[in-house]
Amino acid sequence: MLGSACYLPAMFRFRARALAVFFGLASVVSAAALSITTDAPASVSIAVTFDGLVRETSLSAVVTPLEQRSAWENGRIYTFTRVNIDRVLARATPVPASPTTPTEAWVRTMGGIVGKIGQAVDGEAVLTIGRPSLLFLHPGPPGTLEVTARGQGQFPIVVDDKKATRVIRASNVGALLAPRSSATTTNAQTPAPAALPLAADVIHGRLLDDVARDVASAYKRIHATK
Amino acid sequence: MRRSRAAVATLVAFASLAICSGDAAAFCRTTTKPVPADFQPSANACWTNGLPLWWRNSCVGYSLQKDASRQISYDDASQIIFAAFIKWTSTACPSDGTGNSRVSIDVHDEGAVGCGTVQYNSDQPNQHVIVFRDDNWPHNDTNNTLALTTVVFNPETGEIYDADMEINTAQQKLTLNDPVPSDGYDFASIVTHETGHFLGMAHSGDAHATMYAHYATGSTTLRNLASDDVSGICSIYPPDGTRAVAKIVTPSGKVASEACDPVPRHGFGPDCAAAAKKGCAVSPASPADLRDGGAGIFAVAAMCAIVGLRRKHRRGSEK
Repeated sequence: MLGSACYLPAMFRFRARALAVFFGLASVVSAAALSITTDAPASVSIAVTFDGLVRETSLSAVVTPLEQRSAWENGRIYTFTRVNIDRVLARATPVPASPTTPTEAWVRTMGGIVGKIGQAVDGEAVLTIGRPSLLFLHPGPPGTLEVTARGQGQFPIVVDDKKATRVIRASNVGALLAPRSSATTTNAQTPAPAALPLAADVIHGRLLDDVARDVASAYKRIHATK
Repeated sequence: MRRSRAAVATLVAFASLAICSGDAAAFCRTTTKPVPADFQPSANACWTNGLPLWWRNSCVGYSLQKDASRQISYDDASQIIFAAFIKWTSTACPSDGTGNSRVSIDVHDEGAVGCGTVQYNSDQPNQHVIVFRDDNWPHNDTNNTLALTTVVFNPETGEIYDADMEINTAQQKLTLNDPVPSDGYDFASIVTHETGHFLGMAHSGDAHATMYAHYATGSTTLRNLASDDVSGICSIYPPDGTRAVAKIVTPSGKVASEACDPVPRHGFGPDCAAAAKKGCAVSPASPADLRDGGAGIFAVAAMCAIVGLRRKHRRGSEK
């Protein structure tokens, strides 16, 4: 079970044997009961600013996906990804007592496959088992987190030729428009988004440690003035 | 309401002839597998895992939700969406020697519908609905998403079964004006881009293309297709009436289109169908349903199996 230091309650843990039975049956059922279809949405979005991303985020962390489950909700498929929180950059709630304590969370994203019906969402974060990303997250439906600004809140972690760990922009963010001066919803106290740097421009290609420092600093600055 | 559009189509076809002579090949097609976050595209590299998507029928219908938007009236929206589709479906392609030059897919406005729900029913009537979200954007990222197109397809062939488009007017200001005002986003550009996705196009590496993933806010150039867009739509729906498909679908890599019938799969219905089989999902509705070994889900799954098998026995499976 998850310890008390975990970001989410222990409600998502389950017995391996029961899961194996369940998903074995699920695959049989899905083949019989569901038609073979998949959804592939595409999107146009406004490019999110770095401050805007941090403002809407309650947890910023490097995570590694561990497992995924998909389900229908109100006519759409969502995928629930259990992630290990490898490194917390900023968060709204107190940091766990021991930074080395394994922590986990469930991240909810649009798209996925249920049986042989699925939905692949352009512009949505795409979490791949075993591949770490820096995620900007906020609370979703009970027990889950969602990626802030969808795919724009995901930054894959890569190791470069010199063995340095860097953060890059995701390639699956959909079509992006630069923010207009007053078209986006913002706090009236904040500068116009067009005057602020975009999140991808601030983060892309930089060392993880540098990004971590900037995110923590921005989080403190922005959330302290909320 | 169906529009007679022969004259418009002819005009646009001749206009597009002027731009279809380019040899750009940066266009990409949407496939059955999502692009992973760490995929690094280049100008001429597409994500090609999975099967490319395509409509089988030579005609595809769409319907605008009757309430349209407080920002954009039904009539204005209908006209602009129609014009956006026309740009794609009236494209003139390089001659293939058959005497035909226009792409072999047509799009019909099926008129207003009451249903504004994005869904695909595998055993009830459907709509290919285009809906504005004036009061509430029902998905994550309310502040940034402008439009979202959902394409339902068969992952074993890439055939598109259904497509719906949602436009976020709850948080964003869309405009019909040219030049685009400083606080708005060009509706026609957004819709022309989204209709490309509706037809199976993915983002292009050509910075001049309507399907390019990044474009200048305030520009209206995306209302018109670039040569790369033309190359893309011509490759999927060539004038000879075939569809370019994966070779695991047919060894020739081509499938003949079907005679014009814009009615969605399983019939057309202006109202939302009641939730049906999708409610009988075999995976958990949320992670919370998995606790305690998912015993409840196990029972539901068993019930689904029985119901599903009975349905399948009565009607046969989705082709």
